[in-house]
Amino acid sequence: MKCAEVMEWMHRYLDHDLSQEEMLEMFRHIDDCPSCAEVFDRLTMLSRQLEELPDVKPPFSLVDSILPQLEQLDRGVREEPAVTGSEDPKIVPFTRQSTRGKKSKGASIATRTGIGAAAAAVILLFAIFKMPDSMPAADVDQALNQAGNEASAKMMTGSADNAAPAAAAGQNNSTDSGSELFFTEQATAQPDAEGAAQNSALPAQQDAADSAAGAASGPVMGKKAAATETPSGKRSVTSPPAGNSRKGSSDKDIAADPEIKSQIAAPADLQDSAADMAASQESTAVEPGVMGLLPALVASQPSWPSPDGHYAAELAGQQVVMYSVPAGSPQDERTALTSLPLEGTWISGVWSADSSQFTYVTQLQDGTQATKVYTVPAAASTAVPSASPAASASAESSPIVTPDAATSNK
Amino acid sequence: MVEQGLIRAAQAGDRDALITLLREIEGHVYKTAFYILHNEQDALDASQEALIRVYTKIGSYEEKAQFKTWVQRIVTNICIDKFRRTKPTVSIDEHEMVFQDNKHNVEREVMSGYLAEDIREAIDQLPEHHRTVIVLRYLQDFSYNEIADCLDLPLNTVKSYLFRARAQLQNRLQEYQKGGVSG
Repeated sequence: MKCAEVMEWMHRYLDHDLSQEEMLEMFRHIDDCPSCAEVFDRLTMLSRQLEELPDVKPPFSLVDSILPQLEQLDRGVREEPAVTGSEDPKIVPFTRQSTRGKKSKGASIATRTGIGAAAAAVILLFAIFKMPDSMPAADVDQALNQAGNEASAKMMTGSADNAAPAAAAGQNNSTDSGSELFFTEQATAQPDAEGAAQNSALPAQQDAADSAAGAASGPVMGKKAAATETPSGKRSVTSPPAGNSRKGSSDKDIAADPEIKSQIAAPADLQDSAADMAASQESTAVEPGVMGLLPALVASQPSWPSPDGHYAAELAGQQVVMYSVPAGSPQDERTALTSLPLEGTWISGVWSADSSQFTYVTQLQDGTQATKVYTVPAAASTAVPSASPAASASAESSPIVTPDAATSNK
Repeated sequence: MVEQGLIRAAQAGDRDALITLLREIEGHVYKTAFYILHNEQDALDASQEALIRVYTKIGSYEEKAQFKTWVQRIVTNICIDKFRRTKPTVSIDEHEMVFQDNKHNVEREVMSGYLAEDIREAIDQLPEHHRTVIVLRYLQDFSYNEIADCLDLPLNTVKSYLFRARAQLQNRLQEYQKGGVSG
């Protein structure tokens, strides 16, 4: 028997693969061959040591650690038939639903980004177009033309009457939406009730809102006029019952949430969601461009006519714009006296009984409230006490109600 | 080692039986992975992957094979995949061996007496198939046939891998010993 052959037998011996006879033969050789005997000793020792290698245990239960994955797999297996019809609502296990939610959310984010970008482009376009003829005089002319042959005096009182209860209604009945509207018009990210809608809105949209606000508060007078004149003109032309349009805007604010949800669920109809976008945009930053383009969705801006009807204060972006409304002329003919930049968030505004002062309160970023008073220029003041009861009621009720709404929103 | 009834129940869709089955094999799975990969974290990853694969593929297990070899086939395949991905096999035997030996000689005085550690390190330097065969033979106590089933190799190949692996280990450990004596 050769040594090489014995070597193999040694290994087989270690693996319990030798028959009794083979074993005897191998040992006989080893007894006579010192080198093979040495190898055998070493191999046997090695093999014994290999058999004695310490057992190792996982430091934690591996099965427990994979249980979540296994559960996920279970769902995956059960849902496999439904995977092709991914819209199948029949199977709604948690994980899958969440991934589906993410997916559709991603899709709707893309869609909404597109819509937001489109809206921003439209706004920009409109702003550019509108700028040249939105200088106060031009605008008034235009508005006058649009108003056309409407009975001016009647229109004037009608709109004043309507606007006053509307303001009151906006603050009393739907303080929520009313004050929301005011807050969000600042185009600041307020954590108010509408925060949800705003948060789910897109950066693109917020950019649009920001730029709209920027345009409104820009240093160029023409821009200011564009942001302030246009809506008022449009309002009196397109929506004689101001109360309705105010209510409509409140409804829209409330509707904004479900609309966004429906976008997430089914970003199908672009036009619909564009309208939704515009609506929510309107509520985040009242934008003349969108309002002009979408008369159906026109919402009146928060406005405070003076008790005598000669002045009006309107909130436009981060500005309070004071208007002078000549007696006996339609509201469109009013001229902007000045605009006052707002510091902080709008809370309330009220005219003094003699229409000479407009006092408004804002909440500053540090939480304190600032009260500012605008006094009507003495020369322009022609105190004609034609205050309607509704108007004065609104003037009295607004400071009581609105701060509450403001604080409840904080 | 594993009751046949449990396997059948698991195959029939009894989830509890399947989980119980996994608990029974997890130690064996981990041991193989640990000795092949020689690294706790890699071993944990590989074992978890193997258990998940057992869980999902239990339906494809056929009783003509032994369950334990079927399981070990899964875990060794995963380990060899991992091993190939992390370590280029070509260079191991030539470069690392020399380097490791030198390092080992330096540390010899401190490390003397840790023979099990020596063996582990020697195993770690074996080529992947030799190492796998050694692990199955000594840590799973598999026979030639079981190893052949598990690795899908001819019986003779298994033997030659195993013999060569043992010889390599033998030589290396002998070198260590010599180093220890001279150092």
